[in-house]
Amino acid sequence: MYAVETQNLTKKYKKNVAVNDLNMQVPEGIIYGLLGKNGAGKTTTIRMIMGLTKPDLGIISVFGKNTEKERMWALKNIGAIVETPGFYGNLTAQKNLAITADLRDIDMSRVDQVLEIVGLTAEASKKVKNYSTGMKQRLGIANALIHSPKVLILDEPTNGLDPEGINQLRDFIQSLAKKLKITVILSSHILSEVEQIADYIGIIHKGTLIEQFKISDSGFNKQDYVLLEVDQNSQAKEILTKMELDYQQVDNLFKIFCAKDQNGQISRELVHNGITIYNMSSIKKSLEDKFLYAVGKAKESVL
Amino acid sequence: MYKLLKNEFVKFSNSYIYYLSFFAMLLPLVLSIIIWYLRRDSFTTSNMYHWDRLINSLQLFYSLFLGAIIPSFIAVFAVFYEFQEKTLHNLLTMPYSRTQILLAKIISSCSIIILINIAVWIIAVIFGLLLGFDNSVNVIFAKTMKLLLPNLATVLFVPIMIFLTLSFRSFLHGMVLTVVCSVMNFALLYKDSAFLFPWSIPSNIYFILDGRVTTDFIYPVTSALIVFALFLFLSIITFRKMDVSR
Repeated sequence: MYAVETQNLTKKYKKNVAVNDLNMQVPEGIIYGLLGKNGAGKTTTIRMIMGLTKPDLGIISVFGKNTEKERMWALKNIGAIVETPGFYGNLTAQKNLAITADLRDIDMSRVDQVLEIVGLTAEASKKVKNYSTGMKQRLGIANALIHSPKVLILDEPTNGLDPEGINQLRDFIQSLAKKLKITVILSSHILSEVEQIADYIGIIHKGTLIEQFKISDSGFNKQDYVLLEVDQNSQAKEILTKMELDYQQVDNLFKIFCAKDQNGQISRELVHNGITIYNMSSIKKSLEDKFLYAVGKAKESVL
Repeated sequence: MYKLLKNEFVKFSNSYIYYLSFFAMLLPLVLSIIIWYLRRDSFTTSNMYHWDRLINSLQLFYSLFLGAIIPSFIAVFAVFYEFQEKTLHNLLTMPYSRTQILLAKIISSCSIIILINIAVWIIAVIFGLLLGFDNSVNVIFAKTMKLLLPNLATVLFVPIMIFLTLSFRSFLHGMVLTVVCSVMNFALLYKDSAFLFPWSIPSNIYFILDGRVTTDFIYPVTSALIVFALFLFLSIITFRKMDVSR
């Protein structure tokens, strides 16, 4: 059973298809990165999961339960920040969270607990209008965590954060998934952000989920090729051919497609044959390549 | 539902809206009392130093102008504040139905309007006694009800304003309409059929109580109930169908 699953989810705004036949499967206890350009349909998908927007077609299930039929159950088990977290600026962080706790029938002691989790205990009695963007983001997470949800949905959580804030938030989200065993869905248009944090990735393009995969199975962070720059190109070419390596020559550079454990052998052969190596760097497969490939493929299929 | 209602009051407890509304309602009363006190000799000579005259002058402010603006302001703010602070998403992701959320807003806004009016009425009674007006219970009750009842009828503006704020997601449309309709109310002041225009209902009730129009009391009351029910229904439908992302 998936923590969150969508089947044929579709949403249209007049002639514009915001989400098209989206089938997303989010396994339990993982961090799922919903990746896509701005306007790809990420926020609309999240809004539909949260019941803020009604889908035109399709089914959303949370732990196997249809969210339309069991909306109250779903809302009790999902915590979310959709776009910018909103708070009553005239009230303190503690009072804002106390409202959520009271409305959700949660013990008030939980307010202090979640404030501690997000590191806002010292600023708890400050009015929210005086909070920085980063603090509001953390308070948003505290608000989403107050009822100990099984699924946490964060829409573009690093928006408006400085690099230090982004790092802190990343560590924090990872610790949530590990310590509290919460399934986290986070949407972002920043590839590096998702790559560093997610276990699973779904690539959404023009409302369609064009790829969905597990990071550990995708070969990321494994060597894609070696970039080589030497003093004698023709001799190097002969050696690489003799070694039966798959390579391409682009101007003075060689792109050698091989496994990482072959790098030593290549360098030894070249040096042994009196070739000077100016530069030899291992290039890893990146999510960016995968993303651009998937988006490119999606564009081709449309054409 | 109770918790939704309770937290509606908590949300605005530190905001200026309730205080501003209360002091705006209190201002005409305080000014009238000062004038009555300073000119008590000339008012006594010209037979103006009594409950009826004080209440009549207060109703000029309340029924004709403030009486529509303050309740509208409170109702518009109850919804617009959620848009402004971007807290509507939070509220809608709580395990409550949209109807419950909206009803809590309507009931809390109506309660605030009623409480403000009762507070102003109590203060008016106290000041009336301090000024030395007739202090028999029956007279005080009969006379001051003319101040309270029309003002309580202003709760009918709550669903109208909430409907407009939800439809346009702005405070402007509701408030502009309130000002325009309050001005239009002047043209209908002594008309028997003024109860057909929602913004004239409070003043129509006052004029009936004061004996200046001959319409039966049941007409403005029925009209107010119909308008309230109609806009309550429209607000609930609008809120239930509302796509908060648009």
